[in-house]
Amino acid sequence: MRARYLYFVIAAAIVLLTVAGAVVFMLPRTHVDVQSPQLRIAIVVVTAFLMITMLRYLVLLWLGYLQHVESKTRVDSEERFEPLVTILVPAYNEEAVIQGAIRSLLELDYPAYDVLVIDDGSTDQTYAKAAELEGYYGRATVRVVSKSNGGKASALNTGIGLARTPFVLCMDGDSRLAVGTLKHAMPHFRNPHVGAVAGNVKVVNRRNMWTRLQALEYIEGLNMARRAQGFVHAVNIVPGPIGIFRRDALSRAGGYDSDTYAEDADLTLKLLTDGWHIVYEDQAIAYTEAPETLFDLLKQRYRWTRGIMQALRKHSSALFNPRKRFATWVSLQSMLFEAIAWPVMNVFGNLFFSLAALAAGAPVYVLYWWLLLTWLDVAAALHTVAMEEEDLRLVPLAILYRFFFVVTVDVAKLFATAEEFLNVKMGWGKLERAGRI
Amino acid sequence: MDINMLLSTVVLVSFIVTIVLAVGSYLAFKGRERRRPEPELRRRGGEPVFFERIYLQPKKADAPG
Repeated sequence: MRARYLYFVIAAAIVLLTVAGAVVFMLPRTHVDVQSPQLRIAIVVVTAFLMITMLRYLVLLWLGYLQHVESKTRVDSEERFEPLVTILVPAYNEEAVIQGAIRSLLELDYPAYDVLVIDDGSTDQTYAKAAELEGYYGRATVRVVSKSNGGKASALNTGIGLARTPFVLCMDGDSRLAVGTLKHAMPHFRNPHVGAVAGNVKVVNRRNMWTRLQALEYIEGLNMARRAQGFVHAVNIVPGPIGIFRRDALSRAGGYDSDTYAEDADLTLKLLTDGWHIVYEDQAIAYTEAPETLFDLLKQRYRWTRGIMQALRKHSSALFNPRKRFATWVSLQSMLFEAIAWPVMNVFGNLFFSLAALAAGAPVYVLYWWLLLTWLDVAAALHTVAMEEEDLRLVPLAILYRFFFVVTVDVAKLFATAEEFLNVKMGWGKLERAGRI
Repeated sequence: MDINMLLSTVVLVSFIVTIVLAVGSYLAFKGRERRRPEPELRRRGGEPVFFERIYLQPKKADAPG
């Protein structure tokens, strides 16, 4: 344990020294002779933007690397740790995918577990299709219950109440789990402080450019941050498609609440503020369908952003209380940064720099600026794709990712944030699934 | 026009066009959401579909004696 924190301190020191060294090296070599005060302000803003961007990438990549090294070198004790687990599958109008999801769960490499499907008052054949697979399958049993419609949070709470095991795995009805998910995730619970394990979500339907870009985004954007947070045991969102929880922790936190549109983020914040540690396991994999059209993608991001804003607002007292647990506080701050500051910086920083370069009559700086940011994205993509042993063909997409995808998504995030502050009414907006898994 | 200027122009135009398209897409998305028919459940006043909701009558107090 002491070695972990030594790594952490060394990592932080290296990151800070690198940044400080870069500043000291660059300052005497930078000759800026500008008279215009507007241009001076532009240069200061752009430099700050670049520094924050570099710092963000350095911290996330370095901590993520340490988490990776730690997980690869972890030697599990000979004593097996395979407690009973209930897999909760909430399903609302998932007739296209529910049987495939249940069948995939029966193939998990784990000695004993329950599968509990909670039909949340579907209006299609979800219950009938799931009930066809109810029964005992040697290592696993499948149970199906139906309840009146109340949303995903309500369905999961029903499942948590009906589960008879000390651990539960919460997933989406339209996701599939990798065979080794439980085998790799459960040993983390040997540590009695660990209340939840966040899994690794991968896009399965890489059929068009939108979904391929999302596949890269999950690896480079979401998992990179989650891996870094996992090293300090303070993952700030246990993703909806795969989260494994200590049932005691869930009960003490009161289960899922329905007062936000991001019940997974809300529950994670409740566990963190209760003092539980939350870790990341990249071998606990859920394959999920990503939105295949631009409108569905915008709908999903709109809901995520507003949900995260609602969860942050709900737990705002923890945002200003670093004394309780420092790692948790840092994790909350990073959530705030990624939800608000990062999209604002991406859109307005780029816009500001482009216009400033034009105004200064030096559009070539726009090119350098873009080359730098794109290089950073390609390097981060290469690092994270290699670390996850993923498809290397995703790496060149980092260029398109920087050019179009990030801007499109961040603009939607900005509007969603503004609408959340203005309390604009919103609906649930369930995504249409193609049933490809 | 040298290659740097050409690339700079491409980058700049791409970025501005992307921003405009992103804003347009968002507005189109909001417009489409507004025109979308209300979900079945909401039309029915949030009543469950599979189960009839049963409202329990308050239990009458036992008559004395």
